[in-house]
Amino acid sequence: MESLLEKEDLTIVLGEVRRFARGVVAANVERPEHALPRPSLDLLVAEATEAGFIPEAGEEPTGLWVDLDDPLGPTLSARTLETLASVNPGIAWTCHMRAMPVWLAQRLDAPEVLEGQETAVTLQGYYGLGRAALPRYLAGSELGHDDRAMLNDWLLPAQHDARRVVHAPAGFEAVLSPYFDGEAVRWVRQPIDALDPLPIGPTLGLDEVDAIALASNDAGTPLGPDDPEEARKIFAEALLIQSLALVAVGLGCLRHASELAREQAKTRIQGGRSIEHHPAVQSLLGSARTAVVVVDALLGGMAEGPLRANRIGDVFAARAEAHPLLCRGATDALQVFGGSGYMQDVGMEKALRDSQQLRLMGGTPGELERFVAEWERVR
Amino acid sequence: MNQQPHLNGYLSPDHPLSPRGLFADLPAGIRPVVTPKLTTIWEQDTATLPPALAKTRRWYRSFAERELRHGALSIDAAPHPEPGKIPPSLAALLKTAGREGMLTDLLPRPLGSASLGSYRYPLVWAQALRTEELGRVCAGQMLLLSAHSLGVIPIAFAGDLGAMRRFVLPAYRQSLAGDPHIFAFAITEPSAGSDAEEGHGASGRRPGTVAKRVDGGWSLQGRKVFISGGDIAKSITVFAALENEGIESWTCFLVTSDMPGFEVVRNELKMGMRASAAAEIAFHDVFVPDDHVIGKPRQGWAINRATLNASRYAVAGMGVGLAQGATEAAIDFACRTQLAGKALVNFQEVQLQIANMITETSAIRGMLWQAARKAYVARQDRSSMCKFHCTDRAVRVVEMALELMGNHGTLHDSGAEKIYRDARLTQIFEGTNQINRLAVIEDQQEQLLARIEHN
Ligand SMILES: Cc1cc2nc3c(=O)[nH]c(=O)nc-3n(C[C@H](O)[C@H](O)[C@H](O)COP(=O)(O)OP(=O)(O)OC[C@H]3O[C@@H](n4cnc5c(N)ncnc54)[C@H](O)[C@@H]3O)c2cc1C
Repeated sequence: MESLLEKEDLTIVLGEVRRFARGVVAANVERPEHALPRPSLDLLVAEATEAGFIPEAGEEPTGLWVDLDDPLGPTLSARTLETLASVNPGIAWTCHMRAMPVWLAQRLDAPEVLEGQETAVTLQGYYGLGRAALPRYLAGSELGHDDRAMLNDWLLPAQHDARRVVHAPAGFEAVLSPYFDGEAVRWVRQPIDALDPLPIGPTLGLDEVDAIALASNDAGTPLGPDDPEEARKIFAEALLIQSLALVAVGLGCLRHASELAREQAKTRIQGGRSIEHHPAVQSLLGSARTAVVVVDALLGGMAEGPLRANRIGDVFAARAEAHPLLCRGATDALQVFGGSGYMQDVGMEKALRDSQQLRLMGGTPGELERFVAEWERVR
Repeated sequence: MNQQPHLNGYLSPDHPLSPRGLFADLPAGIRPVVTPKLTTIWEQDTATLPPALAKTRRWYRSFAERELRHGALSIDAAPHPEPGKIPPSLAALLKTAGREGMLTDLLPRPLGSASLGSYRYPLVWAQALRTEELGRVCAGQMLLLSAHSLGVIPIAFAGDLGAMRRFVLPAYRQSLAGDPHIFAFAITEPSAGSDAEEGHGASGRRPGTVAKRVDGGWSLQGRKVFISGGDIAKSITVFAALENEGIESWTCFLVTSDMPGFEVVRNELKMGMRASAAAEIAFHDVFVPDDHVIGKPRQGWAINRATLNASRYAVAGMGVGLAQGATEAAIDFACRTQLAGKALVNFQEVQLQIANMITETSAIRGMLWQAARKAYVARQDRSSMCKFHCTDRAVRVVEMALELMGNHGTLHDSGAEKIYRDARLTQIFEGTNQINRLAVIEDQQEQLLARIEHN
């Protein structure tokens, strides 16, 4: 497909994102030990929307996840998130979560879901990643009874006390979630008040984002195309976008942590010289930087456009590899700081918590690997 | 046909092919050799301990379950207290711990609370059991109760009976009477962390905390950072250089918190182990009388290194306890959580992960006990090997637990994310795991040099 976007467009837009991240966002998050207060977060998101980084419902939305049919479109969105995350991963994730409903509403041809209540999209099933049933479904294989039961329970758990955990910007009022109707994954938008919401308090990472546990029911009008094939594609694309977002945010986070570690190693003197000269510290710095370089390449491959549902196996494979690397890099970058790395006001422990949080959302590396194995078998 | 319940992918114990039933048909003389008792790994391991230590381990476990479990999550979530403002629940814990002998178990009864029987074995072994059992339930409260021992050990290693009589015994009596007297250990300075743990770095360092000779004693000037329990300690073993000398002049001083000029500057905002504060403390011309010098002047470096060699076993024990706690949290989750009508533990991938966690935890416990069992002499190489390997593997086990629990593991209520934040500390303090690797080599130095010459 021919690209409407040019490489220079990317450079220009990402330059603007960088200026916004370093100029506007950074000033609000100088103290890593304090989670950004809600009003400041809202203000930043409004500014990012105003600047055109987060799409709004309307005629010509611009920003995250808008030009995904363009070969350079996924890259632009992923690198935008990476750049924002290099200043604050929680804010980057918030921007992604704001953009998802716009993308999904357009893809489902259901603009009405953007009206009224603030809506979040969740792809997080109850537990795991639907085991082998998900790759079978996405590859269009014949589904057995167990597969259907798995998909159904994963997305819409039958037990009344089983809750899905949603990580979304504070204050969302409705949730747009997938469920399996026995034939295809459909979507339903429900006010969270109807889902017996339980606020969860702090989570391991992404302090800026709210986590909430929701019960499940499929009450509501099913959204999405009647054509099961098209419904399948939409779900796969949503999962692809989420994967790109998780890795991009993780990469931005580690890029920053790795730079901080390098600076620290230059100035901290132990063992008679600045610690950057000790092989033990060089190993840590090298590990963090290697993770940045490798995940950068992985993200480059993941984001090759246009976005196509049948790339899900490769994208999940890349994500399975990326997160352990990102976590290793983050923990090694922290270790360069010694004891001060453990303290909240330095920011390294936050980077590590955020990296771990991203690893555990939307399918863990082990689940992604098993997905890949089954996908390769059946597609 | 399976008769009894069984996990997916397994035969029930009464199946004709299950070893359980088959072994029962073997000759009577063989049966006991091939048929293990159905006991937990914890019970199996406890049974391998000498009876006195087995009893001690049971005591630590029951204390932890009774006193630490209920507050673990709420204390972790609470804001850090300001110096001197210990939350009432922790103040109560310290009192109970004092009364029940949990603050005095470095010495045998009647001086302290360790059983005479357990005293026949290396002390570091009992201490490693202690940090394991308390750390399994809540590593933050474990540190609150255990960094205290680190503050006492230098007095013991100075071989200074007078100091034991003057400082430790009265403090122990106070604690046993329900008025906890906490000790802390202070070597780290803003400009010397690893350099306070490792001789090569220390040799070129200008000391930051300095003792000046004055009439009748010493005047201390300087700062120490990251001191566990430094905010609540009544007595602190502080290492300072003598004026105009290097770290080789380090001397251990017993500073009490009521000495004029002593200040708790602040408590750090920690990632984990939040029940125990890491304090920055300052000495503004603190007068320390001569009888508060622990050991002799200039013996501080030796006392420090001996202390670390002993206490690194206890840090390894923390790693084992944290790994155990994470494994149990994951198993509990896998048995309680249903997916598509089955408990997760029925899925093979979950079984594999649990097997890995149990095995890794058993392996590090085995390594630690093997080393501690013989540690009548606390060897630097052994204690450092245990410290860095057990804590590195422990963090890996906690990551596995998080992976098994997926995004549920990220929730505070799961307990697992707290264990992760707690566990991460064990790779940093008592010497980073990098410095502990170097310590292993330092202890092998003569042998390595001999091999170079030999070649
Ligand atoms: C929560 C907490 C509690 C603590 N409790 C206490 C306490 O009770 N009492 C106390 O005295 N201290 C305490 N400490 C201090 C702790 O022991 C030190 O943080 C630790 O020894 C590391 O020192 P540092 O933080 O200065 O790191 P640094 O020494 O600055 O190390 C930074 C990095 O450089 C590396 N490095 C340094 N020197 C060398 C070298 N020569 N060769 C190779 N690599 C090197 C390190 O491995 C590390 O990766 C505590 C620390 C924390 C975080």
